[in-house]
Amino acid sequence: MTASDQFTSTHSVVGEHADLVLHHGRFYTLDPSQPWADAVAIRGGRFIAVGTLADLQHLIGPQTRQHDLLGAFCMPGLHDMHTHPDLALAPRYSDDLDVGIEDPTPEQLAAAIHAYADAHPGDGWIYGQYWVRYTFREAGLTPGREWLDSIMPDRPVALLDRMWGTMMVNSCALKLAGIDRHTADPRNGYMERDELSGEPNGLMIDGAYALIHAAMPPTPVAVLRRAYRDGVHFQSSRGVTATKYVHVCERRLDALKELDDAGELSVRVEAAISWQDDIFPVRRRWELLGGERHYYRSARLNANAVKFHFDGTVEPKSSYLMTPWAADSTWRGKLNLTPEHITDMVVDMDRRGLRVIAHCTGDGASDVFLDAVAEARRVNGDSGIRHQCAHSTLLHPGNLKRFKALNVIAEFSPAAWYPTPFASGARSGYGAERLKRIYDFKGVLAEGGLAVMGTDWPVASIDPWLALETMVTRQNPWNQEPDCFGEPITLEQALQVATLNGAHAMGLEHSTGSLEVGKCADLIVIDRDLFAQPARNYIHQTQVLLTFVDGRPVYDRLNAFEGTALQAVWQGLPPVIE
Amino acid sequence: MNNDSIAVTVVSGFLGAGKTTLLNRIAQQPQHGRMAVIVNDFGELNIDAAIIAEVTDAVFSLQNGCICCTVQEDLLAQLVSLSQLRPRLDRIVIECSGVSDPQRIVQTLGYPQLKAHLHLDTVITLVDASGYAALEGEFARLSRAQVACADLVLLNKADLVSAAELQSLRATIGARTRVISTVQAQIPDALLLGERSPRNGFTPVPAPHHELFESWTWQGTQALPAKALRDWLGQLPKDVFRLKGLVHLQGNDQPFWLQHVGNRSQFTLASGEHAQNSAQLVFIARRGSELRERLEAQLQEMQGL
Repeated sequence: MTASDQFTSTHSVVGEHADLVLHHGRFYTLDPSQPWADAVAIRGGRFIAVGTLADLQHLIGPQTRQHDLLGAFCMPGLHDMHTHPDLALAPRYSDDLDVGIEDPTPEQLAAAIHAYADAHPGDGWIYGQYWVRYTFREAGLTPGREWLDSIMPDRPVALLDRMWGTMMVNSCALKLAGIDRHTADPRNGYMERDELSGEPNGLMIDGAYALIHAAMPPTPVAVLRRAYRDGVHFQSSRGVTATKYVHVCERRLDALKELDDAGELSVRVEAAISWQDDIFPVRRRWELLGGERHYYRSARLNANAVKFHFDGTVEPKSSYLMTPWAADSTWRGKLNLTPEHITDMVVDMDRRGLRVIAHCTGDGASDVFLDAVAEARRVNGDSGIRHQCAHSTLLHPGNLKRFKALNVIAEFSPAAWYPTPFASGARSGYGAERLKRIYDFKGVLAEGGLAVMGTDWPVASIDPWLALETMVTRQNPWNQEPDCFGEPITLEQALQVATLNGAHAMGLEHSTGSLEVGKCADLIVIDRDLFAQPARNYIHQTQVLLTFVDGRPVYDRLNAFEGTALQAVWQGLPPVIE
Repeated sequence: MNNDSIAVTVVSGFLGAGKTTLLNRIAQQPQHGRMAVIVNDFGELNIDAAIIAEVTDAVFSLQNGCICCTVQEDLLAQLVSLSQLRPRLDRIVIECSGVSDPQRIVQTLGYPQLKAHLHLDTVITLVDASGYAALEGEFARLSRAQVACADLVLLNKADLVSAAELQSLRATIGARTRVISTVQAQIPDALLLGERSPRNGFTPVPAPHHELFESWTWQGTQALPAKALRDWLGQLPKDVFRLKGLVHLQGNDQPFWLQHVGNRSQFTLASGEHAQNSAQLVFIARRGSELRERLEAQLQEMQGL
């Protein structure tokens, strides 16, 4: 027999006593009227008292479970407002061909293709990575359809170059994708062609990949489910209670719903439906946006958001800036969609009750996005929906106050808000002046705006404690180098960013994000007092002991609730996923 | 494609291999016409997926080939605007960052919006003869990629190593690549820079006796079969540095510009061009290689004569 549902509604029967009392904790509540507490009482998943053990003694009945926290530091659960476990893990779990050699010779590549084909008989796609151009040149061979046809003529094959720029496909793959010499090149890439015949030679450059991906079977739901499962497992074990999976399609939502139905969706998830097909195709986009998304809805899952890529990224200087990247050039970067397209889309989505999450790394992109939101407010009035400016790598100083004025979330991702060898190289393109004001939490907060953080895995680590520490230090967390990127904020501010502000960004500020009576009991118990030592090299080493969502442990490092009715979904050490 | 297409030279090689010396030499010669030099400082560490995955400081990159990270939009835009300059440029030289694979730039040059205005002339990779053998790991792989992408490899600082070392290096990197030993990146212009549509007609490139190359022309009388010609080009001896000209291919009314350097051939439709002969080819080969007779016999045979 399965357990009965326990939803609460207006006339639900409410018990007299708490289900659970946590005491002898050091609770940092994020409630300005009572910043600290040492005990909480929980009933029906919500706080019914926050204060001292003496205050809530009357709520302890014969059925109340009491748990001694032994002085541990407790706080609201963390909110990771932009991440992608599917993009990080699904390729790993996909059972695609992985050649597994740094720079395979054509001979080794051929052997790997044959081995994969033998292990996966039939006529299905052989998709995988990596090959490199230089071993072909060294062998006096030309990579492309002709070579690949000589290895595997009768099954579609598509293999990525280690440098990413190229996908090599065989004739069978081209045929299935409907590609011949009449096929036009996409705007963001091209097919290498025979100079005399115009026939594609099987080397697809950059955006031409998508022509092949469109013909391939999508990632299996089981693979996506496994990726999300490991993702939420890790997030719960690192204290995340709410997150946004920014880019989903109908299959990803199916995978998330399966996890939810199985009781394994241990994090509140807002999923944003992709507006573009540049990462994976969305086949039911308009059905989802039109209302099919409600099918997936639960206390843990909603898909009331849409995500689009408005500009590019810093490394290839495709972020769209207000002023040219370099003094001696006119290059400002690119917008992937016209401002008119964005404006109509934001107005329309806002009216439909969908949050628009806009990838805007350059200050020019966010300027256009904020203009689009202003137009939505003018046309629709205040819908109450907070739209979200994703990454916000560089913001125009004049826009800092518009986040509050337009009720837009400024989301920052830690990919490079502190110095690392990678970030220092990649960010050097900004120049010294812009580097001083990248990821301007401080500026947005000073103007009363809502700033949140999103780890953006796999672009940066999914560990929220790295993000939390470096918000406060803006320095490398592993060494003692003095370099600092941008402006730090205080630990108090950072904790608010990572908790209560995240709840606002989820539209859940009345039900989570702080430890207050009436809110859901989403909290974490950790191994250290965050205020006890300087942040650097300290906060990111935090271990989470317990994570509660809706008053129940979802993660229990020390198996404290094992064998009880409150046994956590996940127990033991966090999984290693990166 | 028009006949005024701007020639693009890509210069690659590690820091210290002599790129700047070579660039200065090219830039200081007004006879090469209007020239622009681009220094491509594309994020040095972000060169490929594997390297990023090796950066352990918890910074990763999308491993699924996310397009936003691969297209070199800035270089693309820069090249488009350079190709629109008037008076027109004759040549663009791109200096790759030391720790990068020039293939990425070569691929950018292939974008359809550029192909109408410019063409890849030569990829030149400078190798520091005194340092190549000591490279390890990712740097060794990268330098292999730089060498493999090259049409011509300049084994520079050749004076700093012994003859035996030089010989062994040439054997290592020169199995299929045109390798020229240099000091201070000194190399004849005729090898360095190709001209696709010769201003002075098809005449041998002046080759004084002290130069390391010789040059001759060949005139054909019949259209050539495309496949046989391509196979022949693919098998050209390493001592042929360059080959250029105008050829008629069987089954095509219009002639094509042919440009061959290193192992790479390019055919480009030569619209409105009236070839006096069915084929006119200019050879540039290592002096003393004595290839002329053999190659011409092969071409004659290809013509079915």
